[in-house]
Amino acid sequence: MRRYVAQRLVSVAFVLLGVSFIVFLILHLTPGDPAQILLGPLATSSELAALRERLELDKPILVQYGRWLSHVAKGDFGRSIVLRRPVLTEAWSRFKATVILAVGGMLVAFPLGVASGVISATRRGSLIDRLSAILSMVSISMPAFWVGLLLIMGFSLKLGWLPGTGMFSSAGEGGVGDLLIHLILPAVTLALVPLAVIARLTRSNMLEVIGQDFIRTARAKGAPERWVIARHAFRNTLVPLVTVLGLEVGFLLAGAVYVETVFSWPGIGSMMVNAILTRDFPLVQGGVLLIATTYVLINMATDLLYVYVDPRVRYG
Amino acid sequence: MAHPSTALSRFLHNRWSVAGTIVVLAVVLMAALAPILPLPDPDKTQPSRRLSAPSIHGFPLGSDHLGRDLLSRVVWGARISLTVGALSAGIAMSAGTALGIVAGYYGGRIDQIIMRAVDVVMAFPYILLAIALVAALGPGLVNAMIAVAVVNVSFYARGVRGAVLLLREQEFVEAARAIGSTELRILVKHILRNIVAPILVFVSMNIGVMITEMAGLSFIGLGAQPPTADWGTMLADGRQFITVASHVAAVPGLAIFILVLGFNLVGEGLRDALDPRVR
Repeated sequence: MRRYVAQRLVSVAFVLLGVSFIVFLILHLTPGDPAQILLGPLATSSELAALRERLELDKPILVQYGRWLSHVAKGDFGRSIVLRRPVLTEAWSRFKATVILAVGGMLVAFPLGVASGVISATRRGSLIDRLSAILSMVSISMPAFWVGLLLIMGFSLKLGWLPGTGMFSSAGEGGVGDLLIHLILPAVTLALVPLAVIARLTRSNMLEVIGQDFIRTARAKGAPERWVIARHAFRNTLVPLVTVLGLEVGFLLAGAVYVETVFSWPGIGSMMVNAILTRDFPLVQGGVLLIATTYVLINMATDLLYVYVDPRVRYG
Repeated sequence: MAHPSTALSRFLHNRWSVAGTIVVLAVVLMAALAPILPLPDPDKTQPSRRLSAPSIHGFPLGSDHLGRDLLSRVVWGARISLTVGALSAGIAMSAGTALGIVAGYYGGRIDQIIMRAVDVVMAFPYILLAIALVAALGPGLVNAMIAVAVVNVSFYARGVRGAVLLLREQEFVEAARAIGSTELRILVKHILRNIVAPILVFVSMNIGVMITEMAGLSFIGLGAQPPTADWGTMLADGRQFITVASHVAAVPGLAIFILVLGFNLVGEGLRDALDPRVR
């Protein structure tokens, strides 16, 4: 077990290195002079020369990467060209907003998805099962940005029940209630696809488990069906779901880009979109690095959790 | 491996797969025939008739903020969405399959290197890498297509490699070697033939996602740039008018939904037909 953890940590370190290198390359793949890009069209030639020297742009790319990496490790992600603030401060505050959205999405997707999957599995072939299969298929075919707009049109504009933009009301002083009301529509939009995926996975996992011998034994021993489902089937179904959780969190973090744009949610996704459109590369790099690193760490955590929870899986 | 004719009959007996196939074929046909269909010019503006609701003023699906016929724009937009979706999927499939075969068949260091690269690519949440690539290359339809293709290469590479690993240990490969077939012949005749089916399933299930991704990138302004108009940009345009004319945003989104649903149904149907398991 310990050897597995060590192996994972090493491979995660390699992957993070690769990820950071790709992020570093974002600025350098762009056609044009990096110094010019960073300082904008109004920079004087002396400013450009100074920046070029400071960034050591004449040195080989790996040297530049090393320099950039050492700054990043110290928390210096550079300054946003447009906002003139340190990237890390800006990215971090937006990241928190995205996390709130992602958590909201997960709180909708996970319980509903699992419940739907369990019901489908225990009532296999019934109307409910087939209905949820259809709904799942429909959900994963709908583009999130379209669903978001439809929900805004329906619940916000037509019915006036829920706000359709932003994280807080512009008039109010904020507060948890205000936040929650604003969270509902975006979270539901974000949750749609993960919900469908979780539902189907739960269903197929559970069907597999139910078909197994130990379930037959429990039933033969006369245990009530509810108990069989809850105690034996359900527990064993949950284990593979842990890995799915990791994947879905990644989806939530990144999928938030569209949802954040549609709902004007001040998260890191919408930050990056704006940064790209305004050619604010340090901000783009900071955002991508932050999200990708979080994703990698979460996946590692779920892998380790999976090994811990399922005693049959033993690596090394 | 399932016998082809039985797989086909299984597919055709599944009414969802058939429905999906009909939908996809209908959209493809409509897009291909766009130039000869009796449609008004998709770029012709009629400002006096802007934001008409469906069936007013002779616009079957309404008109947008510049008075352009939405039905016509959706049909012409289908050409773009289908083309970039197909190209993107084609690139990802070819590159990914090639990498997967090389990695799986030859193993060793090549395998290690390729799989490490794939790991790094997959370390990015799906859309994020596409966005990063577009950030680097600049907004535009072609760049968005490349970005989406690159992100998807890793799925094919991993999957194909897995299949190849299984296949290469099988007896018929050894037998082929024993009778003196060249490596290339083994690769093509035995390995490739056996992975076609799973690849086909994956492509059909994947292309819907790629089309949505491309539309999404256009929606946020990173894909198609004016004057090119695909369904994503139409949605973005319509977004400003949801308070007064909801159909301008609803219609292109509906188009994306229908096409993607069609592909997903076909994909699921293929999967069930080629690998029948108790559901």
